[in-house]
Amino acid sequence: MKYKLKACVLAGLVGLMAASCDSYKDSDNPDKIVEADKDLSGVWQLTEVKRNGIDISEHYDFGRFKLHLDKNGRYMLENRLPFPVTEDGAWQIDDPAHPFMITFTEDDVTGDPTKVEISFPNVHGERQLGIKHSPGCGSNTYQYVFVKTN
Amino acid sequence: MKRIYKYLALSSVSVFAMLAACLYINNYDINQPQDDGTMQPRIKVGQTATFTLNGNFASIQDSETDTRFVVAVLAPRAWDMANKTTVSFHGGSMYDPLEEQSMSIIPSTASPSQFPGYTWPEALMQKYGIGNNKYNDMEWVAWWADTPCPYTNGSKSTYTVTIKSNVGDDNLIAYLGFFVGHSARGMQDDLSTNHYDQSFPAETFTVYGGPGETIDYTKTRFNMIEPMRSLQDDLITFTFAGETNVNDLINCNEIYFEATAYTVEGHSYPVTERSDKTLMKRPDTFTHDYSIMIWPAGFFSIPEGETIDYIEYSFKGYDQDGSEVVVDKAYDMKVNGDTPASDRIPFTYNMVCGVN
Repeated sequence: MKYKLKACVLAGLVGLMAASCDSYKDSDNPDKIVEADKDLSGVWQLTEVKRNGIDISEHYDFGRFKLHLDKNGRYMLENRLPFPVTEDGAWQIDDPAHPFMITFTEDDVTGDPTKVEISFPNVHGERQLGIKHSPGCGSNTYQYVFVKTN
Repeated sequence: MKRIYKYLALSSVSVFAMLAACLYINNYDINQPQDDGTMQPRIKVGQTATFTLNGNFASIQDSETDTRFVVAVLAPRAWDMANKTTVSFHGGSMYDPLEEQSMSIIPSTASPSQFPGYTWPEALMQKYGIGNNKYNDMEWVAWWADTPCPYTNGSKSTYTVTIKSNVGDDNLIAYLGFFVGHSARGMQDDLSTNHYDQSFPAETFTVYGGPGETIDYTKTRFNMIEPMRSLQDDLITFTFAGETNVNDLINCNEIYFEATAYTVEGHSYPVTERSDKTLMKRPDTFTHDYSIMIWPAGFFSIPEGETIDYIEYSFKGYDQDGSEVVVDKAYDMKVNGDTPASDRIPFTYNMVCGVN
């Protein structure tokens, strides 16, 4: 009796799964959700820095460093600090809807462009730009968090 | 009734087990062959040191499960033991006494009993700290036997552990530490049973012959640096630890960082100004620590294409009469009872990533 009951429940579950698979089609998007493109352009200012996981934001005048990402695809480093690139140049993101990687192509620098993984979280209604990098020794990791200046 | 006897017999065995010794380190040897034919606890940079531990093992009950012999070493982080050290042993009654048994780093998912949630290195650090060292850039690394084995009641044997460690590029003096145990009992403390043993050599171990200053892990120091290893595009914190030893600098109103960068290309870039750029900040009034964080490439205005090889630095201030007060390597040597070759010798910091 027990086995029969189990078999019934299982059959029911399989049926349910099959049914739910059937009813879903890629073309059906009842809510018609379209991910909006993210606008990364603007002047970004450093607000938080971690070195090897420890907050060092208060130990240096980080606020002076600004990353200008212009709408026309150019970028400029103001009061440069350790950063994945040293020269100004052109910038590009991999996916405007889900930016995951930013590519910096430095002026007058031969070789491959520099690809940097980014995070773009919404914190208290404000977008932040996060970059993790190791500009010195590979064993030292820095996490930069930028906010847009007004 | 029979069952009760069996139970009593088992209990008496376990009580006996709690009172009998299991695992000991009898002696250690950290001496290395020297050019003059003697054996000393010192070695040149870049070479591989061999340390041995001899001990014995006695079991007074059968093991419930197979267990792995555990060896751990406390040494400077600069040695990068996880990647640059191999550990093996021979002996132990269940193995061929002549066959060398290999060991591997204990996975971070394994915890010693009594320290749930801790890795072996974390538990060892919790239990023993950095031994007799004062400078906190030491680490514990733990290995266990690749082949687990059971132990049986009455088995007795000796063992010899061989630790071969590349000592890296840093001149240093430190106290080492050794631990042996086994995976089944971890760091379990029973009344008088040694499920594990530890040994902290009374003599220091020295690595010499490399460029730059010697880091003496056995003494607190006026100069502290974070991170220990960095390049010119890192952000480096230099700290004057004013309570390390007697000095007049902590009585000065302001303490400044004075430094010169020397590049691989043969140029030097001094920064001697007394300004906000070189002023060292005291994060709180509870201690006399004064710190400055610099980005060397920017701080020394290093031209494009040049690379800093090393930085010389000292901590300076003025007393009430306007006389200069300095804490540098020469001063540090003097208060530690050494005689410096000159009255002014700056501290040195090499820009290397080293063995990592």
